[in-house]
Formats: sequence, C-alpha cells, structure tokens
Amino acid sequence: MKTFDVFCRAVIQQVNGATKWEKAAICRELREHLEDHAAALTEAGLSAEEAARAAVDAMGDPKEIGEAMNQAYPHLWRRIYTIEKYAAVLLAIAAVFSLFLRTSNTLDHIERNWEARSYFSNSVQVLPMDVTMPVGDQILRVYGVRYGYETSSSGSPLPELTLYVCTYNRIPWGVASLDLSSQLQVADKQGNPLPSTCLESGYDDGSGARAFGSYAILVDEPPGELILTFDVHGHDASVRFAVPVPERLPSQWRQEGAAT
Amino acid sequence: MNKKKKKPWSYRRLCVLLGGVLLLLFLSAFEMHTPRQALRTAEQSHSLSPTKIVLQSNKPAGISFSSHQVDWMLSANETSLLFGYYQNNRLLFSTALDYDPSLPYCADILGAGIGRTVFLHVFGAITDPEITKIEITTDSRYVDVTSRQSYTLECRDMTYRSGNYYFVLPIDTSRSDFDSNLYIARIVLYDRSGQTREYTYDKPKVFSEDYVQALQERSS
Repeated sequence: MKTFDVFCRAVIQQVNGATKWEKAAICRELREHLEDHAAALTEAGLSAEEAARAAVDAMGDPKEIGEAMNQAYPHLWRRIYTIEKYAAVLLAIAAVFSLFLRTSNTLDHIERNWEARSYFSNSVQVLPMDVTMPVGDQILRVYGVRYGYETSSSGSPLPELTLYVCTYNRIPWGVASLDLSSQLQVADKQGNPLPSTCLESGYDDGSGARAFGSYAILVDEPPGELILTFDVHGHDASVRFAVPVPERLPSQWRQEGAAT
Repeated sequence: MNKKKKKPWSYRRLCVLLGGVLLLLFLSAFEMHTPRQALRTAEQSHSLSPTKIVLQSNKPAGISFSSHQVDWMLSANETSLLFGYYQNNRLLFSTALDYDPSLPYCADILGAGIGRTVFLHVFGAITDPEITKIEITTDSRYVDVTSRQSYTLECRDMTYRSGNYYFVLPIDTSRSDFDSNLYIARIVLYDRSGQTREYTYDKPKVFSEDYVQALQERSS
C-alpha cells in the first residue's frame, strides 16, 4: 500500500547506520505491523484507506521513529567499512601488478629450468656431452668438457680437463642446488680420486632456477671415463660416464699429456 | 513450517569479511612469505633433506612485516646444519655444514654484508654429551694483520635438541673484518672429567688441497 511505503521510506531515511539489507528488514517489519493493525481496524468497520491512515497515524512521527532506531546502529562500523572499501581498491590494483610480475618471474624461472635440462655450451672449445645424475630432488647435468692446460710455476703447460656442469630442480619452479654444482668429487674409471677443484660455481641469475659449476681436473692423458660423486649432506650419488675426446687434442696435450 | 529468519548483513559483519579480503590482498600484493618457505628455499639450494629450526633470531614467529630487519635461522637434520640470513622471510645467504662423525662438534662462520651493515655469526653444534664447554678462537687476516678473538660458551647455555647442543654466536665486527678472511682458527672442548681437546685450523682453502698439491708436484 502506498501509504505504508511512504511511511517506511520516511523511517529508514533516518537510519544511516544500517546496511541496505538491514533497512529492507526494518521496512518489512514495519509493514507487517502496519498491515496487521490496518486489518484489525478494517474488521472493526473502517474502510481500507481509513484503516491504513489510522494505522500510520498510530505509529507516530516517522522521523522520530527513524532517529530512535538509528541509535541502535553504531556509525563507527559504517565508517570503517567505507575506509576498507577504498583500501581494497588500492590493494587490488597493487595485487594485480604483483601478480603480473610474479607470473612473469615464475614463467621465466620455469623457462630457465627447462633450458638447463638441455643446456649445451656454445663455445667452440667445449665438447658438448649429456650426462645426468639425480640427487634427491635435484638433477646434475654434465654438459661439456674442455681439453686445456694449466701453466705451472715454471711456466710449462700442464694438461688439464675442465668439466662443465649445471644443476636444476626436478620441479620446474624449484630452486637449483648450488652445493651439488660445487662439491663434486672426481675419480678415474678405477675409482681413484683425481686432483680436481671447483673453479667457479653460482646461479646464472637471481631466480635460482639453475646453478652452474666448472671443475679443473689434472690428468696425464685423456681419461676415457670419469666418475663423479656427490657425497655430502647425507647423499651418496655417483655417475660414471665416457668423456668425449676431440679429433685433435691441443698441442699441450700432445707434448705433455698424450705423448707421455 | 517455521523458517528461521536470516540475520541481515550488518556493517560489522561486512567489516570483518572485507578485513579478511584486505589481508589476503595485502599478502598477495607484497608477496609475504612464511619462515618455512624461506627455509625450504635454503634447503633446496644445498640439496638438504628437510630440516627443523633449532634457533632463530629473536622475533615473533609468523610473517614478518619489517622491511629492513635481517633475521638468522639455524636448522638441522640428521646429517647437516643449515644456517642462513633472511630478510622478510626471503633467503639472503646460507651455508650448510655436515656433521663429521670423527669430531665431537661441527661449527663454521657465516658472514653477510648488506649495505653498510655487516652480519657475522659463529654457529654450530656439540655432538658429544660429555662436553661441557667450548672455546672458539677466530682469526681475521687483513692484508698482513691478523686479529684474534676468543669466545667461550657453556653447553648449559646452549639449546639442547635430540642429543646435540646448538649455538649461534654473534660476532662484533667492522667492515674490514668482514672483507678479510675470518675463519675458525682453534676450537678447545672441555669435558666433564676436566680434560680438554684442541682442534686447530689453517686459513680456509680456496682450491682443494689435493689439486694444489698435485699442481705443485707436477710443476717441480
């Protein structure tokens, strides 16, 4: 009924501390009360219009009722809610930017991890090879070997083999192990330890998707086969592999290595 | 049938709900990590099996909201010790050390320089229950100047977990100390019977010993 609607609107206009759902509930309650009262008056002999008007009049001043109801709704929560709404908008913008950056970083990390699975050096001096050794969640990949030489204190060249390795995590977004790329032991095919040292190791970028390492191994002649062992932090993994030999060995090897 | 009326949403309930959404957005926007996530990264970078935190710098557990604080954590598993520096629960630097069954202790130094601030800590574990006290002497070589410092720690002041005593000792240092090569030069262990065991070390090796020796032999 229109009279009831006007009355209810006048009441809820004063209830600022209530949400739209609470205002709808107030309206519903008021309307039910007015309708019950009007029905009783109609039964008593009044016309519908007169009964509605009388029911509304009996309620009193809608402004006063609304103001009294408003006291029951603390305004503090409405103010906090307004502040939170603005904060949510700002944070949502920041989160979208962050998500974009994080997604691109993760994709970059996964791409580098996959590159490590098939990584080969482009250097012409490095002979490509492809040997893998699983260690826990990590994979060690020996991807290259170089026949070079170390200059001794007397100035004479000593044949030296450099082994290039990289590590990556089985999980494409996992972190590669730096220790696996830097703490390997090298032995000849009989299992005798060879004098070797890790020349350098580290991550190739900040993502930690793959770690690189290179090992200098002092040998007298091309070793044919090598055994790499990782025996730290409770792991005991090793791999035996054939070391490729170039068609032409460097001159230092012919003089000092292969010749002897 | 009486249908129970649903209570309409109040601003109070909306505030609590939106507050939760805000927290999620904040964590998502600023990529907050938990200490456990940082520790997992450190474990992966050393190929370590999962470790348990034994000691950490004094701060409330959970998510760190400070932007400049650098925290340290010492964790351990059956074979190794893991010590690392973390900022906002992200790994900065870490080192892993294996227990040597022939030694009654396991100790090392980790240092990190961030901006003008230098962090240096001696950390380790005592694996022999007979040991009551440890004296650690560090040497710092800067050009040809060597400075020596000693620290004594009682086992009763250390953290005891699964049969081992764990310690982390902050070292007061200057930039030059950090740039020079600081290393543990001597460790003296005191046991219950009053006897001492002494272990001395030379400067840490950049290249492996057997390689350098072989190189020298071949050169001569």
